[in-house]
Amino acid sequence: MSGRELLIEIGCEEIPAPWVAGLAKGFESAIAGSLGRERLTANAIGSHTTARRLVVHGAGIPDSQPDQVHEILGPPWKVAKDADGGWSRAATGFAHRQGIGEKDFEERLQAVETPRGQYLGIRQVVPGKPAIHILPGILEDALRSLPLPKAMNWDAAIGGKPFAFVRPIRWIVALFGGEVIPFRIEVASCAPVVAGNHSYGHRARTAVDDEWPGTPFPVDSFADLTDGLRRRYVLLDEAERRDRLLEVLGRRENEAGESAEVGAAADVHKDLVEFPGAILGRFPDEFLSMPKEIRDTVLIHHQKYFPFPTKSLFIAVTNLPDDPQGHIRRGAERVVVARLRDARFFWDEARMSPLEGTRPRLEGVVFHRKLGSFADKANRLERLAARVAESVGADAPSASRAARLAKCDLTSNLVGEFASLQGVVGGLLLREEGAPDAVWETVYDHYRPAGLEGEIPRSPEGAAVSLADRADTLAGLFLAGEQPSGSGDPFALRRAALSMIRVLRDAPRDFPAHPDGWPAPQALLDAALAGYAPADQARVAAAAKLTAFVNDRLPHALAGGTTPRGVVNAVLAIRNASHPVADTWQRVVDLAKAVGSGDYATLAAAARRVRRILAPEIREGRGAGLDPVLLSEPAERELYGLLEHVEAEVRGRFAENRYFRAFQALATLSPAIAIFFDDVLVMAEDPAVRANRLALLARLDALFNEAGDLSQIESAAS
Amino acid sequence: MTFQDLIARLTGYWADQGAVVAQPYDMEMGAGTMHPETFFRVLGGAPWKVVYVQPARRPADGRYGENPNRLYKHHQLQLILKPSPQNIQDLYLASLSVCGVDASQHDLRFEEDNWAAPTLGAWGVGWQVVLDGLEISQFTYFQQAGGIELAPISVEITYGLERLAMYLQDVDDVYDLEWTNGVDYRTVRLADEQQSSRYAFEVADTAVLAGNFDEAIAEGDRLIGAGLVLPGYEQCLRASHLFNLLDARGAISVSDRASRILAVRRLAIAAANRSLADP
Repeated sequence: MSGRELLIEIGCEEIPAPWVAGLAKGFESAIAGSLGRERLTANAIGSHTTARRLVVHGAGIPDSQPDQVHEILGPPWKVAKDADGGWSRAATGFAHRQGIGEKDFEERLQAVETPRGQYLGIRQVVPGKPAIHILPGILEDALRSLPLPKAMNWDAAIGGKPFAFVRPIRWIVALFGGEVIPFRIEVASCAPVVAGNHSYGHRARTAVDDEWPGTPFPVDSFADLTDGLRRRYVLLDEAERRDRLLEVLGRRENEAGESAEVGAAADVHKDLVEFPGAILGRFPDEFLSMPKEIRDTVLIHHQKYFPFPTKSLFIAVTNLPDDPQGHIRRGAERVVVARLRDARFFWDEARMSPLEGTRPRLEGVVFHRKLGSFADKANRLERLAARVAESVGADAPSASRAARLAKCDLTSNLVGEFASLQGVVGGLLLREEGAPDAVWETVYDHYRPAGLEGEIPRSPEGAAVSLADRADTLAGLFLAGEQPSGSGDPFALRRAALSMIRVLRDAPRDFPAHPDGWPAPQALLDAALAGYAPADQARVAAAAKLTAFVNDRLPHALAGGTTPRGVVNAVLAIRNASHPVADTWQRVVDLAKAVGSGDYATLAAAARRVRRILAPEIREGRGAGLDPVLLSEPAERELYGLLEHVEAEVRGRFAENRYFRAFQALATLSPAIAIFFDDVLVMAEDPAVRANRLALLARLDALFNEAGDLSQIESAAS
Repeated sequence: MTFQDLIARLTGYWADQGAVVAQPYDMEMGAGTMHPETFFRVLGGAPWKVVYVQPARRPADGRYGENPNRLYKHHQLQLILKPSPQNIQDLYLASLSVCGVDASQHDLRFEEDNWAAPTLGAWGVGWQVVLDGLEISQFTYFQQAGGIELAPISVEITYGLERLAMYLQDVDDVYDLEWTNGVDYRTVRLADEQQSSRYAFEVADTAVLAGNFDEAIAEGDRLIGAGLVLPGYEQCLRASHLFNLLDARGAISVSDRASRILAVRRLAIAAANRSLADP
């Protein structure tokens, strides 16, 4: 392959794990973009990363930019020559300004065609610059362009301009075809970080004989770097790190005789280490009697270890290949036992008194300065949850009792210590006390889901309390003037709204005695607002803001998965916060399905076209005054005939809430519409014929609008 | 390695790196960061290296001497290097090896942990250092102190001495730590923990504390206004500790909390600015 290899390694103090992958990709695309703009495009470019390094490597990059030919235009050609055919004063003046001597006139001055006519011009060849001179600028731009969630000042500057970065940079490998790219980062009152050809392996281990860990080693290419790092316990390739991690986890699981609960965490861990290992730790069996939720919080949230379903074991991922002396295992076990002991102390403390008895303490826990305590909130929740549960035919007394007790665990030291266990602790305590499932599960579940994603409460009573809680929070904070602004959302109200929409969308619907389904968001929020204030002006204003706030969240909340945004927008043109979410969602799902199986491109195009043609007053007529007798062309008669039939079918299906069938029926109009627009001149000269055709289209438009704004659909596909 | 050996070795190591060995500040404070050797030295351009032990009082963490891991008063070994040397992580690892921790045999991580002290108008970015699952140090590049953007940047390393010692001595109960040969932590400190916990949770007179708090703020304002930065800052330290005592007693309402934090912060910021104005 022709061209040279580019190798950049930014050696950094530990980059926070959640940013690692994004930074490497951003670095790669910034460098690839700059190379392209500088006409130094690489044949291939890639990036790798660990917590301590960002690596970008490109192959087949030309030695230098291709030469460029610039045209410089002078006066129009017609004034460039004298009457006698010699160069005019305008021409010679231009030539002199361009530094062309008289003897070169014939060779350099020429006629250039432009869109504005013929001009006198010269061509100048600008030789391309060597890549090695351009790369320092590319490197600087790429480093400065990286989006940093939180940049730090580390007294650094590039070319005299301050340079903040995620963490201090400690070394740079920058090679172009093995040649060091001249680049440096100045650091005030310290030596600069100068790009070179030395990298560093694992801090603490090396497999290279007679070498201290952490000693710099020379590299001349990407392959050499990868190999050199591997011999120094750094796996540069993320996939390889992940594979090794899974392999060592598998070995520990074999030793344990049970699968650990790893889940998606392996992906996080692979970025926390340069060379993954894993140890199997043990804690005393006595802690198995403590609820697993609490144990797992200690292991997973505090220590980032992996628990097992039944065994008193855990796995800890390490940044070393092994633990020959057992130091790491013993250390991990000691920390786990100390934390489990703490947790059990708090658990036993919480179990000493019934949860109900801790209710008075909620008066001391402030919900919001203007909205009173959590005791007040619990009182509102009790009423609202009962009302919601009753309206869907769920067990209202249980929902009400659960709502009454839902916040009590906030006063326990256990939740003070393990905040992520709020709700769960209350639920577990009620289970211990022998409360019915509908009560303890409801308390346990009522913070679910945290946002749009995650599990929803398992029972209708749980859904009712979860909804009541979110609605109460949204209503109260909007009344208190705390609605989110821009990026500021200190009370996580956007998440609360998404969580509420999600529950309304997916909450169970198949339990008995279910008259009207779950309420629409607007109705729910109105009920929550009523828990705070009389129907005064402030409440009306808050209600309007809340409705708009929920409407703004609906597209995102309903667009999940493979559903195209255009389909969501089509449905949301006729559905909003005042409609039940589950029904809106059903329409979205069914329309997406119909779009996937029928000719909706024609319908969408027709919807756009019809809307362009029809004046608003004609649209509003919805096809009134249509006279079938005036329909003369076969294509319009065909469309009319079909429309008569499909209209009845579509309206019938909508009335039965069988949306997919309705949308399918609608799609059967496509061929007739396509032929109509091909064959029929809508704007006929005869005013009666024209008005009649417009009325036909208005009737079609009216039918479309019962499904939504179909014109939105194609734009999503494109 | 005994508790006092650990202190001696770490102090000696950083002294060998050129640090001034300062003494604990003779006032109550919640963290070594509040010691004037950190708070004022990180301001301004003059280079500085200092290491010291600071007893840190956290009244809410008091457990009457009954919890093996939690203390009313624990000890921090605090290091400030300004500017931060480029091999600071290596220097830090070498300090651990002086205490007998061979990095090649332990899982040592630098896990993101950004630090902020609203009452000092200070924040920084960095990590907690985790040794085999145990958090043993806080490692912070200061970005702001007293509300002032810093340049050059100081690095602060805080070792949790009890935790590190428990790890090194392989004991599960802090009171079992060997302070020096034949003398354990219990003998040296237990009575202090018991009495301080009782004081903080049961006996402290919240009306008196609240009055003292207001006095400290007013006196601090007056002193800083008169150009007495250090005595003024001492009133800020006093107020901060009084706040913690009131908090441990549950005697601070939510609205009260915000205004009291703000008062302490205002004092800290005033002291920082005044110290830069008349060096």
